[in-house]
Amino acid sequence: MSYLTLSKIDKYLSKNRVFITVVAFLYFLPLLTAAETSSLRTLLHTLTLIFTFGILAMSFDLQLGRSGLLNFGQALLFGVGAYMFAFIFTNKAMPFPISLISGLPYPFALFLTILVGIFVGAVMGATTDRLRGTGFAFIALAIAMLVFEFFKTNSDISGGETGLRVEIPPLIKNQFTYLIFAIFALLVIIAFIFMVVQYISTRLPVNPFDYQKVNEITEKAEKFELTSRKIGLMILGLIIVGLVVASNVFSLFFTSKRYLFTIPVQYYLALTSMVVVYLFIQRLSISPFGRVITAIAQNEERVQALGYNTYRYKIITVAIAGGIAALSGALFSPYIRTLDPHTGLGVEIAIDAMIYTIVGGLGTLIGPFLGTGVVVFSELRLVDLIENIFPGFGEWWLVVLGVLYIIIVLFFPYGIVGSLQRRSRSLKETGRQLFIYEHDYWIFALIGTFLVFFIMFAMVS
Amino acid sequence: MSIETSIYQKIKKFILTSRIVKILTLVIILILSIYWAYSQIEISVDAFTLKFGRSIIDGLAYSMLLFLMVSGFFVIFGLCDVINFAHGAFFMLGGFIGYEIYLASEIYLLDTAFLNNNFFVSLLAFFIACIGTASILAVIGGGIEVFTIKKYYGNVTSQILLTIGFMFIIAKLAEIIWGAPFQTFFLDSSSQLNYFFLGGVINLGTGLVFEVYQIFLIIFGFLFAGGMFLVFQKTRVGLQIQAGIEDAEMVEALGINITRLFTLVFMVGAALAGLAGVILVPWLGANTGHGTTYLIFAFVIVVVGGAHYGRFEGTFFGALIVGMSIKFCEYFFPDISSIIVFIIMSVILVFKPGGLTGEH
Repeated sequence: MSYLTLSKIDKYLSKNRVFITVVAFLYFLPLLTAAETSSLRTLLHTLTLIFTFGILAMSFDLQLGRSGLLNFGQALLFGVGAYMFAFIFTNKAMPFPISLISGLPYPFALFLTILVGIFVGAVMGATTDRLRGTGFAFIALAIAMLVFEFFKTNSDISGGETGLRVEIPPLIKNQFTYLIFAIFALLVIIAFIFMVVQYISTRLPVNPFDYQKVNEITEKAEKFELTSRKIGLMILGLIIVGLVVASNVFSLFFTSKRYLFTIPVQYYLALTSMVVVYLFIQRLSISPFGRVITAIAQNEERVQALGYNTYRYKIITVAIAGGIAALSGALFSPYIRTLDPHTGLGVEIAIDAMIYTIVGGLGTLIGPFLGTGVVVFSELRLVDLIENIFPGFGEWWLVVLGVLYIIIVLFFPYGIVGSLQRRSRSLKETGRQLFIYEHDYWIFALIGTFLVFFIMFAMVS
Repeated sequence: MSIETSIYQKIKKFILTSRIVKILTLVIILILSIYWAYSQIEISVDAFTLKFGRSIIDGLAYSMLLFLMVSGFFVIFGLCDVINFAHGAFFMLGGFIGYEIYLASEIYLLDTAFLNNNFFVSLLAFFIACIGTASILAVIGGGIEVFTIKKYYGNVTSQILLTIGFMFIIAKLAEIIWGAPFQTFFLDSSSQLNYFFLGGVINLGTGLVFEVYQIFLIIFGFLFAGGMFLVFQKTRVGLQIQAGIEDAEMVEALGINITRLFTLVFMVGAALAGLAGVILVPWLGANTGHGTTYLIFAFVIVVVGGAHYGRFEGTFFGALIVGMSIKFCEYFFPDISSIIVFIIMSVILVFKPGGLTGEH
């Protein structure tokens, strides 16, 4: 590894400390357990669902938050992915055109599903994008409802009321897939350790109460040097993490119980997809294309006057969102195992995606995912929580959820992340007065993530 | 000229020039002539005519019901620009409150022996139920507007989340109190008298049987639409609301207290939803699942009728189109009865992107 790339990596890491911290934490989580049944596995299972719907919410946010397209047909884009996967991995005999794709290997299946999602999104966009506002929303809803009714009435392809049984793809039950993901997790954790060591060697020698000097760290970080002290620290960190990973992988690798791999591998798949989608949308939103679609959302006539074909841009946006939503559906289908038209194509999915996005904050990138976490986790765990505190009132959970939404609106009118972002300047100022600078945010991110997961863990077990 | 003659002349002028009166007269003449023709000739009713007649009466009654509910949704959406997701829940709650008030007032009236006639007991109880439900729902709607939604005009996403929150709360509370959606509550079977004043059927012979209540619904709906039309055209508040739908800022600039108007509109909208809920109960019963079912219809009808800067008549005809098409399809093409609404909506939106009366 040449000096230049190392310096580049170092620059990237020191600029994205919070992101690296959270991702490393999430990748590390499954390596902590090798037991057959543990609360951590339950938590992983829940998190997989949150990541899956988080991807869906990000796709919705790409349309509503960035390009101002309120797409009530989101359920169709999701359902296309879910049903493609169900068709490929079901053991039920399918009629002719569908039977061609049954039993496709997992990576091809994923690729094909995303392609089909992009295609359906493009078709949906081409038919609806000339309309604006409510017209767009409701034609998209109409298309989704037509497909929903088609699946509901044709029980030979959808399995009818009982639904379609989806087999878990062989790749997910494979220890080698787990090994690959574990190695990848190790790489992410190495990057995290690299970042920590870099932080320790640059940040700590500086007097934390001297604002001027702390600001200079950024410039310093570009002149990267590998000193023996840094290498020593890194090796120490690697040994600790490596022991955990190795003990976990070795204890699992020689087991004959293949089903043990299902939960962590699905978790890793969902997590990796989410990180990829996150980076993709982040990149997209600062690209010229992303700026044009944001401009279309603000003033379409002016963008047309500037010579852009807004129609084409909107079609491409819906097509990209379709691909992402189909990916979400593809992860959901082997997770839920039994797919019926309501869980795969119902209008509720579009409304849920809208709720997740609004709770997190429109157009905030990480907001939709956080919103998904809050809503999905409360949907799953609120009953038990209420039952523990007020016995006999478990069925009030939906009332509590409604109250929760109202509280969120009252305190965070632009969603959780959106409202915090609007106050970010004053929050940063408060932090600076407490001698917390932007370089140090990752520590609080780590503590915050740890606390959140500890609370979730306590609620699950 | 004395005052009486001027009022007389006004009424005369109104009768001679008003469109509503002309249309009503035409409809009445049409119905009378059909009835006369029917009584003159002995037709053998074949299966098609049977289906056709039933679907027309069913469809008209259903459209009037939808119109009653959607008009509340429309005024809230049109004036305040709030997509009220809780409207279906208001509607469902209205049904249950009306059901309970009806039963309670019936017991009270029987206990006091104030009226001896079953017909009048039932009539009075139903009347009390309608008024009571409308006022309770108006208070609920007004309260929600004053305490929460008022602060978030202009912030669409907050409004959506707020109304969804209220929808969940109301729907779940109703489910806790009255049970899951598979149970439907009917008035005449659970009342003490086992009787409802508009129960029973009209038999036109050879299988052409209509419920009396459907006929009542149709007449009530048309009268109500006429009344609302007059309110929108002739009264000060109605004109203010109509103007506010077109341009709220301008109305405010003209010195009208638009915040009070918004609260009033919310109360009226919720009251209309409640009233529609009560009206539904004697026909289709009260059910906790009605909220979501009818919410989608409300969306569709408002979009078909003209969502942005739309007019009140658009909603009426939208309801008529949706209700009639649903019932026609239930009788003639049962396979597509659940999607016909969306097909019609797509066709209308493709040719008139703003809906029937709205602007694009």
